[in-house]
Amino acid sequence: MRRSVNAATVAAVGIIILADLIVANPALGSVAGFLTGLVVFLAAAAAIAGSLSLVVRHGSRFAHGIDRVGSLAVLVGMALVLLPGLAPGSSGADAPAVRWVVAALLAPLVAAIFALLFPLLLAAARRGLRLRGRETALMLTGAAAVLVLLLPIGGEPGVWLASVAGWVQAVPVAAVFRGLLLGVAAIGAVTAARILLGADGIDD
Amino acid sequence: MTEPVRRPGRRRAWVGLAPLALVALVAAASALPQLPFLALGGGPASVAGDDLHVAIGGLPDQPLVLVDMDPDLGTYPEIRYATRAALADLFAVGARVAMVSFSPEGRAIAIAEIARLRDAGAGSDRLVDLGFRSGSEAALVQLAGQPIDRDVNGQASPILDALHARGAGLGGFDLALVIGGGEMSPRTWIEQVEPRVPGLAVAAVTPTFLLPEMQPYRDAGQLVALAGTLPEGVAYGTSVAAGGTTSGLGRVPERPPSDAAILVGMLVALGVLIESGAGSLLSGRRGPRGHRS
Repeated sequence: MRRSVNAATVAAVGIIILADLIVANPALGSVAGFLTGLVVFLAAAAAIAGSLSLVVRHGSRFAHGIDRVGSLAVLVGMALVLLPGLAPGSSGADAPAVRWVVAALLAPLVAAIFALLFPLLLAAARRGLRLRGRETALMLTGAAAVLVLLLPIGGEPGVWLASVAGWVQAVPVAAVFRGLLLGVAAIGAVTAARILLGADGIDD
Repeated sequence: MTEPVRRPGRRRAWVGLAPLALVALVAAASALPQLPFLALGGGPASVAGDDLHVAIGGLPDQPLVLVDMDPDLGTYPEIRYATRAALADLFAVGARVAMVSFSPEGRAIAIAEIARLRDAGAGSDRLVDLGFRSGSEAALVQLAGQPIDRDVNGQASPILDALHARGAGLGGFDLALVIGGGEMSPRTWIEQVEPRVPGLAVAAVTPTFLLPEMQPYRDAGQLVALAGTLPEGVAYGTSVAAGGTTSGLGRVPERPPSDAAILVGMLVALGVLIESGAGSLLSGRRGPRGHRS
């Protein structure tokens, strides 16, 4: 019963917002606007609830002595970002202290983690070749081909590489990507139809 | 006859030093001057990069432009040069810019960019901060259906007054420039905003990983321009820097990424892949013992 109410609510909201997109009607527009505002409010509430849940969970782990260092790192990290912005007299997200935390801590940390992907992927490729040689070799041949095609070389060889790269992107990569998108859309439509027709609970 | 003694400890030490050697090599390469046989923004990339320059150059006098600043902290270094070049390009043609974000990471970057532009002389008549709007796609839909008449602090602004005088919200802008990332990409703009505000031209600067998703929109004309790869961004930035001013808001504030450092990194990656593949093939030929792991 609860599943049907949820499904009916989602379907009704979706249909109203879709109808607002198709039909120009002020009353329908105001209902759709109200529902969109509600979704925005729910998203903000979910973000705050998620943060509070994280604080409670790691506070409890710290108090009970479970992975104290990890939990302390999470709590201190959250405090470092939140306190300068929420402190009395602070101008919020654009306060100098918050800007410093973002520029001097967050951005370099995220960029460093992202940069680590390069050596980690290479190390993973080496391990993958030892564990699943054939499949990994196929994947790495593709990666090596892409690297060669994107080499920043000038002159005639550079133009030739760029034109081959353009063909690879426009034909095989685009075909696979569109196939994936069509597949995802078809599965989404089927799942939505199952929910609307009440067939979703049969497998449960 | 005695076999040569293997020293795994020494080999392990060399393997451990390899990442440091790579960092040193890339740092040294980035200090090299422009090499004649390298062309990061050349060839077809320069044509694609010109699209954005032409789109911005074709805007009316003192255009109103909305910049959606939503890159990821991780991929922003790849598009920072093109993004700053686009902002310089906009200010060079006299644009009045409103900046908004729908992702927390995008907002953090937007705050830094707004502070940089204010230091460079962007007053309230040239740049207005519309702040962060929570709710991701729903917030974008909300923005498309609402009048935009207050900045992030709830204050009026000459730019928003000009927008209000056109009698429209989002539709009053001459161009929306989307600086995209994983959380909010130009695809969301095309899916959610174009059906609601059909007259709004959308251009984009995105990291390379979004290119397969963006390319069909560029080909179909739903994106009027796209700088979607590092070479395209470099080509665009170089073009703006060559034609722009040398000071103030129209100046591109940094030099393009080093193509020598990028080449070194790519060659190292290729070398590791080839060495790993060859080593795997050889150990496979040696028989089952070679597969120990």
